[in-house]
Amino acid sequence: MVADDRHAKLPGIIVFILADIASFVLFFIVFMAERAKQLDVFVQSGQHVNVTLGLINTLILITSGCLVALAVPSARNGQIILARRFILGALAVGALFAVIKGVEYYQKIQAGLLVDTNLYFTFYYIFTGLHFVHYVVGMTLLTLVYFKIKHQSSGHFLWLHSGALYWHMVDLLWIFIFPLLYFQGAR
Amino acid sequence: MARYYYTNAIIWALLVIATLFSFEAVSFAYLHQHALTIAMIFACLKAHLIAQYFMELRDAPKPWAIPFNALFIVATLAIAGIDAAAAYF
Repeated sequence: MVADDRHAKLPGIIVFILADIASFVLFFIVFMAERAKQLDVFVQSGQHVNVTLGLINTLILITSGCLVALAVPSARNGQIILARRFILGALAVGALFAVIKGVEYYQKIQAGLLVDTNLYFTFYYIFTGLHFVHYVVGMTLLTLVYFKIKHQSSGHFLWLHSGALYWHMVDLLWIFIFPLLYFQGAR
Repeated sequence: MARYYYTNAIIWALLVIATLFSFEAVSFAYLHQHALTIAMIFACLKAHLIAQYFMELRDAPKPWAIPFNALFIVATLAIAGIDAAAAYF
């Protein structure tokens, strides 16, 4: 989105991302309001989530986001092979998020911490579940972009730019979900 | 072109440092009661960096960038405010 692209037709994806983030912000406020009513339950429940795995997943998404961010100027500069390598790298790093998330869900289920355990875990599964849906859509979009930009067909850059912006939204959402859910037990 | 690589590498390093720092900061006993607020401030700063540099909103028309930063600030203030209210009232 450099100066040359200032009037590019991208507001659709920007509006979608803003609306999606705004929806999550409303969910966060509802979460905090419910937490205020059951502070002890939320703080005690927060001690049962694995902060280290959450931290690793944060670093994974930041790294994957950085690789996608590098793909955009590469493609803009006509270096499509390099851009595709960055996308492939982002997909490979991004795939680790699902592995870690799977381990985390497995640990929770084994420990009997389910969606109906208490309100904290209801929010935990809703937030991480909704985020995971966004993650799957993002990974699918990046995979499509990887193949689309190969042939440099018309609109291939729009695909890349939109896919990259969506992937950054997945990153942004996790940046807020991580402290909200995982730092409860720190109190 | 190289400018983008260096800039993104620096932003990535800052994001990693901010993540690790917020993780360490909340583990200090005397910061426990402000853990969530501290973590949310770091989250807001990280979100700002991602929007400005990875999403390239710093080069986009201002009407595109302002609502993003406004949302990050609203989210941080709302969460920190409700957290403070829950702790002190």
